Amino acid sequence: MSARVQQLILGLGKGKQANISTAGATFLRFKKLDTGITTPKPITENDAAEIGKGHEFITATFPSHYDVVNRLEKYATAEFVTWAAAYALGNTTVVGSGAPYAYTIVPINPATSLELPYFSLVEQIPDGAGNCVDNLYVGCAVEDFVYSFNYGPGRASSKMTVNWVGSGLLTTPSGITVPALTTENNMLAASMALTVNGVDYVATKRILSGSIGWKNNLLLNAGFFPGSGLQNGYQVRGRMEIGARVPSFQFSARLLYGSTEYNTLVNQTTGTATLSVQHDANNSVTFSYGQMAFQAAENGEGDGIVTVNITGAPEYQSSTGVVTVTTNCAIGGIAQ
Amino acid sequence: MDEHFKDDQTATVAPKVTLRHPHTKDIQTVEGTPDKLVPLMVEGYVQHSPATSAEGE
Repeated sequence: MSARVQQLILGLGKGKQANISTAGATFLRFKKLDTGITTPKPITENDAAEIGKGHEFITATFPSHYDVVNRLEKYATAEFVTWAAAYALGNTTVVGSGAPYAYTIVPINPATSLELPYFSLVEQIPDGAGNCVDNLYVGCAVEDFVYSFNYGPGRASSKMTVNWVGSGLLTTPSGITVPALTTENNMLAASMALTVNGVDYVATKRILSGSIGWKNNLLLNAGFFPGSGLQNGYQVRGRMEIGARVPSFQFSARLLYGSTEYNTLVNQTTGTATLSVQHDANNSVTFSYGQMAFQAAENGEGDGIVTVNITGAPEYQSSTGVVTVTTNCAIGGIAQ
Repeated sequence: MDEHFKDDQTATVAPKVTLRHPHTKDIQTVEGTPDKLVPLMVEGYVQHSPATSAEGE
């Protein structure tokens, strides 16, 4: 028989791996929006360009390396945003002996480590008596995430997208029994609180849309170091280190008489920025920036209403770093 | 408490959390609130042990 993509069983590693090559033992099963199925893509090379064969055609192919990448697009839930932030930023503290657990998450300090916590990821698609897809990807890291919000009804008002990269290490069949679907608590944009540089954009009913992002710029080629390892004759990565990381913060708001964004930009005024969304008191996420300037403020239009589109410049501050994500959710042990 | 953390998490007595610096091996035990945790975590301290209840301290 054939299989429908809705049958995809997606398990994301809950606890971090002990190292890049040791698979995690605990998983959280999540739904997602995109239809992307990860491919354990073996990359080959050939001798077409080599001189001395007498022609320009391929006479032999050679295994090179495994390339494993994919994305996760989801409505923003307290559980998934916690998972994504914990693995993307890397330094996580969790408090609580029962739900709700309180997470405090900051970027790793490169003076202590260049490697983020690694997670395992399993994909299974049942097909008749077996699985047409049943792969366990070991040694995965988050390349970037974007939390985005928009005006409008429903869960689409608040989404989280993650791009992740695998080391290439793969177990097929996975041998994993994925648990039941995680109970998720959606955080609609209607629950949002947003204050930037002293302006409460919710109280003034000005905020329209925006995004918060983090990109690790992982040093992927450096993962194929001499001795990094082979699988089926193909190179796999033995490490994935952070590159020059980039935080991002953008939002669009209605432009009013007396709006301060242009002056904030011109004067390079800095202040704190805090964005919070929640399902309820026990399921929430807050992004906090200790110091934020504006690097662009451009006028625009949305639905015929005049807007100002702000690109923030999150700045590093010695006591708060560049960004902190604090969350509450019912799942403990994420990235621990 | 830093202004931008004031709405975070619970206002009840927070459990203690032990953090350890992976290089210096220094150990710090602080309240498990963001305003206490973040300055250390930014320096590279990582959680060393599960949080303990405030009542047990």
